[in-house]
Amino acid sequence: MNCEEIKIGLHDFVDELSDDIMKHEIEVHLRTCDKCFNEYKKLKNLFDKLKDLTHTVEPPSGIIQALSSKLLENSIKDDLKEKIASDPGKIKEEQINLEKSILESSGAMRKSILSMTLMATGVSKSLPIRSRLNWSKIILILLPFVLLGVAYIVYDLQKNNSPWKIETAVGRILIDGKENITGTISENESLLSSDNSKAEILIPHVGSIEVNQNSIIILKKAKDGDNRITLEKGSVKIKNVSKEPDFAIDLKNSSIIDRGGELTVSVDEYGNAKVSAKIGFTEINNNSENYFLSEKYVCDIMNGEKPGTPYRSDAPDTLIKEIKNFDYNNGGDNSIDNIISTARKSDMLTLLAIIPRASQTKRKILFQAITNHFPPPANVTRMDILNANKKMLHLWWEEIREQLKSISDRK
Amino acid sequence: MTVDNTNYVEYLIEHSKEGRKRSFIDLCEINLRNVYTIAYRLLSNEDEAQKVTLHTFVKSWEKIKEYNSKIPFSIWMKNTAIEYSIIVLNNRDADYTERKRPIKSSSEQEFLESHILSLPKDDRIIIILHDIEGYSYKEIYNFFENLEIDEIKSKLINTREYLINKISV
Repeated sequence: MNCEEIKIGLHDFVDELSDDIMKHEIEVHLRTCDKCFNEYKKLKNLFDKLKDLTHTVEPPSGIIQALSSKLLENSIKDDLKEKIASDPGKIKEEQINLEKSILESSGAMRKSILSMTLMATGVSKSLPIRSRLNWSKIILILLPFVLLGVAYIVYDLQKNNSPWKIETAVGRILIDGKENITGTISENESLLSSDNSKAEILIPHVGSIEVNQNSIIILKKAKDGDNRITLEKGSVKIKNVSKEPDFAIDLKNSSIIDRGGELTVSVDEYGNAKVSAKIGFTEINNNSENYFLSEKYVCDIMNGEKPGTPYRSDAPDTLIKEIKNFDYNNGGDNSIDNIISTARKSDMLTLLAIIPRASQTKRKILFQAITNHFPPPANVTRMDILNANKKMLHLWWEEIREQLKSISDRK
Repeated sequence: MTVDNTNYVEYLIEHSKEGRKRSFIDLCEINLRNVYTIAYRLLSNEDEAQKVTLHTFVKSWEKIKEYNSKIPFSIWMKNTAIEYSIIVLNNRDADYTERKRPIKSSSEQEFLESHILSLPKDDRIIIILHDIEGYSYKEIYNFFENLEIDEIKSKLINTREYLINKISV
């Protein structure tokens, strides 16, 4: 083969598409021909540069926001279509009610609207055809919008699930300072238990709240997807089986959001809180920062402080003590070393939570320690973690959580 | 069999198939850079890339139940993005002129990237898909209506020669 043919053949060669004979011939030629070898080097150089190009483009912010409103918009449209398709009788009924309410609301216009309504339903035939067409057209055009509004209000209202039922009560409990007669608690009412009383509240579609002794809770919002209580003191245990797992417990500075599962939250007389996730994960919201708590992990929130480093509920005492040192006694690098050496495989989420607060050198050690048990997922690089990239830390967190879960599921 | 998807991604896919939007949006966030990058390079236009990205996500949501783990999820989404980008490219008005891009030379990468973005449409699609994204000639052929494999190959060779000349100046 001459140089010109080799030049063309080189492309298949670098794409690893040439057959063995061709490959051999090119290799032999390259060894002897400087010119072609130079061409080969240039091609390789281009490939190296192209490889470096991957992912250098920064996507504009706002796409995800736009996506989420777009999906919502589409699902509302679908709901409405389904409703119209599945239940024409009900729509008709709503239509009639709607017309009725228009009639009632406008006295002066009453007569003309009445005839227009009749026209639209085809009863009256005595009026001129032109005006009849216009009015019925307008009604037909407006109707979908009004229906949409009504449908949304109905949809939103049916999400209200107040009052909640107080299922069992041991001893004497007070609802809004009064004796519990109705056996229910409504929005903005408080529930108070004493030394020897307890209560269990049933939340429609969601699950239950066990209120332990000496607790005060206030029911702030009772609505599917947005259930909210305030825990003033004492402790509660939440069991949440809802498909829409949004249940929030407000504390003084933080909000605990149950993402489905089981958790307990307690607040002592000094305002120090302890959150313990039993099943499913929990989100802690503090100063618009989110902290995630995996199942079987505990997080202490000192009064007015940021949430502390989470630790496994069965973590050894020495580890918990060292975490306190790190969180509140300026334990620093020394504490980190001790934490790493005492941490077990199941404590890796604790190490992960420390990364953003550790120095660069310690981050490297933490990265290695966690990787020994749980290598980071494919999209997460060492650089991301050393820079404490929030999103990447969270991806890794999810991965470790999944794996820990499957380990304990297997047991 | 599942390929390449991490446990977490599998978990999100499962939830998305059950109709949970939040999980699906998380999936999109993971793939955002991937999808936007390919759309932006193919289209060489930020606005269109943004539209194609959004469209890709919405369509993926509509057909998520069809996804079957035969290929990694990221590739599945990327294929959709490529299809839509090519549709957009083919439907541009006859008098659409691609914005003249300044050739940036602050870094070698940017220099090369801006040259690629200034390539004619077909040449650009081919080099991006083959040499950057690693698609085979056969797969690229499937994205095109009017180009044979040999034509794709010879276009690619010309483009490579052109870029080599540019970067070795």
